[in-house]
Amino acid sequence: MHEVYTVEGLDALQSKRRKWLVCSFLFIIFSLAVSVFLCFFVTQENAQAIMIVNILLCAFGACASLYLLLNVVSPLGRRVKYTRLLLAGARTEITGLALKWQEDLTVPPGIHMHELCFSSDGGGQISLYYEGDAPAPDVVGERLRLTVVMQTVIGYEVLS
Amino acid sequence: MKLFWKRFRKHLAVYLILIFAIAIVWNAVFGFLTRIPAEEAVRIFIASGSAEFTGTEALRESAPAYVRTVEVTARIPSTMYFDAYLSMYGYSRADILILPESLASAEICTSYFHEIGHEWQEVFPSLGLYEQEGKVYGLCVYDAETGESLISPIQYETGGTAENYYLFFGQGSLHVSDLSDPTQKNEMDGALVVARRLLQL
Repeated sequence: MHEVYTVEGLDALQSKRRKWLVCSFLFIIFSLAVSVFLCFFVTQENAQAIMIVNILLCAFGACASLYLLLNVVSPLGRRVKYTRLLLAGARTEITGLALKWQEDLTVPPGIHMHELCFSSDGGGQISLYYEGDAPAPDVVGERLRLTVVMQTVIGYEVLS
Repeated sequence: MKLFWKRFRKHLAVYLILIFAIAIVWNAVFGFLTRIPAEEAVRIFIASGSAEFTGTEALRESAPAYVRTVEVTARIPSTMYFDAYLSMYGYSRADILILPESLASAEICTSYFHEIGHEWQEVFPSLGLYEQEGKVYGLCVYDAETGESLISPIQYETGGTAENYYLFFGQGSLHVSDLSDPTQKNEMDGALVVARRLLQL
């Protein structure tokens, strides 16, 4: 059984998110520290120049921090939350035939959702979701046993 | 790089607001860091027909060594927010005020202006005195009848109306030494020195 989500994977994600969070704050902390340090050397003559340097420095630091928060930390947080939800959900097993991958779904950044058209042994054709950064596995035409939580595949095994 | 710009543009407004806020905050911080305390600055408020005053440099040069700067704020009485400026920069902060007669009254004199003692009335050149309740508060710098003035860079006529202009010393000023009381003489006489120079411009 290939497990899409594992507790170890969740821990790794959380650790990665924490590192990026620290990294994003380092930008603003460093630029603020340098700016405050420069303030000790302010005189009437150089005040204008130091003020401009501080504004540029802090603007860069704050924008870099915000960029990382919005584009790295926040998507990772979303992914951690989603993974935790799927790991905690009630699991069901379905056996059947993978028919085709539909187009990728539009979801918030940090989550990469693919849609699988699946013919279950028990009853007809159903749509399931497969989430992951990597391209969806090449299982079209294979008989599979899937572990599903909230219509999302969290593990699969190729039977044939 | 393309992805970077795409993501950056997506939240462009947030970045711009952030940069704007940073500029405002640092501006305020540097304003605070480089502000000159009241003990080292002589502030002059002028209510006249022009918001420009060309004699500031000459006044700075004449100021005593302990005065780091002479700040002149000139405002036109007929403009919007003049009352706010007069209250904020004039009555409460200025060491020297040059105002038309209509902006002075007995109540304002006793609340905001320093009395000018007899010794000083003769030291300063003037075209007359502004008196209230037997006390001298102002020195006439412009006589509307004769058109004679002591401070040439000031435009006295505002909107066609001509009235006398007076020089007053702010009651809260730290630079008036013994202006009303000779027993209170001290070294902080920056406003008196600057006023003397001002009356010769």
